[in-house]
Formats: sequence, structure tokens, C-alpha cells
Amino acid sequence: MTTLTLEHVWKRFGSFEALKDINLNLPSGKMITFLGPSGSGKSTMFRLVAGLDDTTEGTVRFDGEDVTRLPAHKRNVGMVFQNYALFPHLNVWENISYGLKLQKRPKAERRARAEELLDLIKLPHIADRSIKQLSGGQQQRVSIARALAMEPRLFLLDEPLSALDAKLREHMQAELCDLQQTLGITTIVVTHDQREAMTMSDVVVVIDQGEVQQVGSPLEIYRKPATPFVADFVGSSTLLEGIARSDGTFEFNGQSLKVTAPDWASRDLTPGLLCLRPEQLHLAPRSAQTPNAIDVDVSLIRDLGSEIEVQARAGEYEFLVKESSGQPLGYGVGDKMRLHIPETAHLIRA
Amino acid sequence: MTVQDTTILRPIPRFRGVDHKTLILIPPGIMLLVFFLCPFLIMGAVSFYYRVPDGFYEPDFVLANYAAFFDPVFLTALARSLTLCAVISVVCVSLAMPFTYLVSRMRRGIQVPIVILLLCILTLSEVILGFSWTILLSRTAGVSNVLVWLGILDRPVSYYPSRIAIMIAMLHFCFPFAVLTIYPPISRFDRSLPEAAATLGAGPIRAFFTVVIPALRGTIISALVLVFVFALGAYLFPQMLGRPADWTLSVLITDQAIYKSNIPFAAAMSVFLCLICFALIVGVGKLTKKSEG
Repeated sequence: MTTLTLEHVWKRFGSFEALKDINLNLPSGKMITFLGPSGSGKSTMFRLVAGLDDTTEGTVRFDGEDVTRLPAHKRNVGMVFQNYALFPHLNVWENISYGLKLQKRPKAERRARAEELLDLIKLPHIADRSIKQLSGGQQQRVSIARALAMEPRLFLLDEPLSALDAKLREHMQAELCDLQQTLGITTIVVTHDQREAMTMSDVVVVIDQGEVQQVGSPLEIYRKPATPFVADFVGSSTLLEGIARSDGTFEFNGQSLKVTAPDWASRDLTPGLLCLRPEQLHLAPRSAQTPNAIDVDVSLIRDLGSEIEVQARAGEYEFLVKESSGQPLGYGVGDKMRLHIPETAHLIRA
Repeated sequence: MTVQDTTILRPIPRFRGVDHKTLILIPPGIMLLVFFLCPFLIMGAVSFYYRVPDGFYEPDFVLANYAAFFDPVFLTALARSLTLCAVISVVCVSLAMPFTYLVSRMRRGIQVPIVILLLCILTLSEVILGFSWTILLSRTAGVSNVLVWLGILDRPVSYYPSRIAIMIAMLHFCFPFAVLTIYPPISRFDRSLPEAAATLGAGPIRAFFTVVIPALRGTIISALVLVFVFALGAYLFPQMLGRPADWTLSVLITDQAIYKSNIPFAAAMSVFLCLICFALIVGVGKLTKKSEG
């Protein structure tokens, strides 16, 4: 159980700033995800934590202990590489017990530990196989076992599911969560897949352009995105540009919508963005005089079987609305409708 | 339209029952036959010919040339050649491995000039390299003068002819070949392997010896064989930089063929040398295949 702290961490490659003043304090024993698009700096941050790259500035702490200048081989982190990085000249159990061999532990002990870990990853009978005889999924499990063999302080996984096919991915995702809970080890997963991050983690760290955009539980990230980037990257949303007022009104396009006033809207006339999620919205006919609504035109209807996706337009804005597929919609493409805006819609400071 | 289609889809014509894949092999086959197999067979035949004392040779079938192998002079020369080449190939590859590994981890802007420099060494012939070393190791103009100037030696000395001089020149000559053989596999080498070793507690040097070297075993063995065979064939360096007592098999063959006009014995030695190289290549090939399978 290790807490991970980053204090004013910078990473520069020449003049390029890959990480800009990162400050993070992550809880121990949790499943943590670094989420961001490619080139966001999430992998750079991950490598700094592992000790595979040096920080340019700032401090990395494990349990408060400064490990910034400690190289990877002295940090005791278990890492699962994206391509698994299994040693081709060693067989399964030799791979798993490689670290123990470096510590000159007796062979019987190494073998026992390897078998114990093979049981843990549910591949008990492959100890003596060569790496080339394993499927991709098996290789990944072996690499997980190898990373856990030294009882590491942190368990790090780099895009662990990206190389697996869709079915195996879901299965592995559940298993990783189980494994993490059984061991109670602080685990960090790097991913660019927001769905993966949402379903797996206790804490999501959203990163973009070398900066931490938001840290929070998956639900917080989804419901209350802190920046326009988070709202756009995690789930789909429409962001309305307008002015937030402290009395709980949001002025959009000359209309006044009622919303819950965020704490930052203390003074009048703060520019804000109203984040609308598809499942919060629904459409009503214009004649119904729905309060707290805007006029839209239906532009596309897609019946997915389980639900119906409706696209509606209002000027330059495009909304996605999810309607249940139980009963007929009662409207079609080209119809002029009213889009109801719930008061619970989240306001983001622009 | 249909006519054209059938023309395209018709199988490539067979030439008297031989398909095109076999046909493609004919030109290189002829090349090998004319330039490799024929000379080898001629040499093999000559090695059984009878040598006319104070003359040339006449066709015959005698085993005297091969019997001469059991002459202690020949056996020591053989042992000396094999040891020298083995030492050179081991030293050369042991130097080339870490060198190439470090170069491959440098920035591209540094890698390219280094590779070009190595290719420059390849443009120098054995003769030029050999003469350069005779100057560098000489008493009058060699490195010992620098050592005198630095106060390490009292007066300049000559470092050749000697076995060390042969080895230095051969290393110089073989090094680029070794580097260029192992450069592609090393630069393609998965960098996450040493990183994985690091996260498991191995420092850079331990990771190099426990992961990089074993994972590149096949490459290393092929580089060793290449340099060994290369060194076995070199005859200018031992002749220029060594005493007759240091001469390797290749020098002895030249000596027999050109200076002693004993072509049949030279041919017998050449056949023997060829067979050694062949056995080595086949043996090592089998060995690496076995260990990788």
C-alpha cells in the first residue's frame, strides 16, 4: 500500500514541455487511471513514476519518501508493458522469477513463488512453456505475474487492454479489477480509452497537453467535468456558451435558462459553458410550451434497437438525445421541437 | 473482355514440366556452379595430384599432400591459426556488442556519422590498413614515440613483427564487419526488455548481461562465426606484421603455392580450410536453431 505524490513535476524534452507543473496526491490501495489522448503526457508521467525517465523538475514521492532521483531498478515497482516485454530466452516460470533470481534466492523458493503467481493469474500448468508458445492473452497474464512477483510498492500497467480483442478485453478488465482488490495494491493504469477508465478505476486522472485537467471518481469526472476538455473527452456532450449568473440563470443566445448556480459564479456576468449529456435531454413538441427549453430542429434519427439516438440542431450547436425505444417517438427528421434543459446540468467555467 | 480475362488467369507456362520458381533459381545456380563449385572441384582434384619435384604437377591420385598434414609444422600452424582467429573473433565481438548497443541508443544525429565512419574503414583495403599499422607500430614513427614523449618509455621501440600486432590490425579490419552484422538486430531490439529488467531490480549493466546478451544470442553467434571465418582467410596481416613463426594457415598456403610452387599441397590445405569453415558454419547454424526452437 503506497501513496503516490507528485509535487511541481515538470518534464521537458528540449524546448517541448511534456509535463507542466503536475501536482497529484493519489490514495493508496486504489485503482488509478491516467486518462488522456495520445501525446497528452500521460505516458511520460507514468514513466516518471516508474523511474524509467528522469524528471526535469519537481519531486516524486512514494509514501512521502522522495524517490525522484532513484532509478527504476531501486524503486520496486511492478510494471506491465504494452507489448508485455517478456524475456524471449527464458521460459514462463523463469520470466516470473527473474527478479528473485537477481536477489539470489534459492531455486525452490523461486519456483514456488512462480507457481503461486501462476495460480493467481489462473494459468497453473504453463510454468515450463516457452514464451513463444503462449497466446497474446496468456503472455499478458504472465507479464502481470512477473510484475507482481517482487511484491512491488506500485503496480503499473501501460495500456494493458489495447492489444486484446474486444471479448478478451472485457474479461481481462474484470479480472484486473478483481486482482487489484484481492491484493489491495496501489495500481496505476495508463489508457486513452475513456470507457476503460470509467469502468475500471476508483480514481481517474485526466491529462491533456501536459497538464492535469481533473482528478476524481469516474462519476465525478462524468457528471461534473472541470474543464471543457474533460467534458468533451469523457463521454459525449454538447457545450453551450453563455453567461452564468450567481442567481442561477444561464444566458444563452438571448434566452435565460434556469440552472444550479456553481460556486464560482459569485459575480454577475461570468462566461460559462453548460455541459449537456445525451441522457439528460429530451425533446418535446413546440406546442407544449416546455419551460427551460430551447428551439431545435431534428436532423437525424438512428434506431439502435436498445435505444434511439436523435440528433437535433440549434444554430451552430448539435445535440445528441437518447430516447428509449419502447414507444414511438412521435416526431421525425425535420420536425421543429423544444429541447428541455434540466436544472441539474453542469456549468463549466469558460 | 472475356478473352483478356482468360489470358490473365492462365497459369504461367511451365517449361518442360519445371515451374517458374525453379526457373528463377537457374541464373544464380549457374553463377555458383561456374564461380564457386568448379574452382572448388578443380582445387579438390589438384589436391590429389602428384607434385613433380623442382617442377609443376601432373594428374595422379596420391594422398601424400594430405599425409603432409601430420607434419608437426603444419599442425602447430593449424592450431595457431585457429587460436588466433578464435581470440580475434571473441575480442572483436565483445568490443562490438557494447559499442553497437550504446550507439543504437544514441540520437539519430550521432548514430549516422558513426556508421558512416565505420563504412569508411571498409573502403580501406587490407594492404592500406596493414601498411598503416606497420607505420603506427614502428620504432621510428610509431606510437611508442608518443609514449616516450609522455615519459612512459625511455626510448622508442618497435611493436612489430609480433602476434599482438597481427591481432590489433585484424581487430581493426574485422570490427566494422562485426558492428554492421549486429547493428540491425540491435537497433530493432525491443527496448522495453531492458526496461522491464530495470523495474524488476536489474541495474543497466546487469540488465545488459542478463537480458540483452541472452536475447541476442543468435546474433552474437553469427557475428562470431563471421569474424572467425574472415580472420581465417586474412593472409596479408600475418605476413606484414608477423614473423614466419606467427604465420597462419592462409599465409602458409600462399607460401606453398607461390614461393614453393607446391600447388597440390596448397590445394590440399585450402580444401581442408574450406571444410573447417563449412563445418563451423553448419554446426553453429544447427546449434542456434536448436537453442531457439
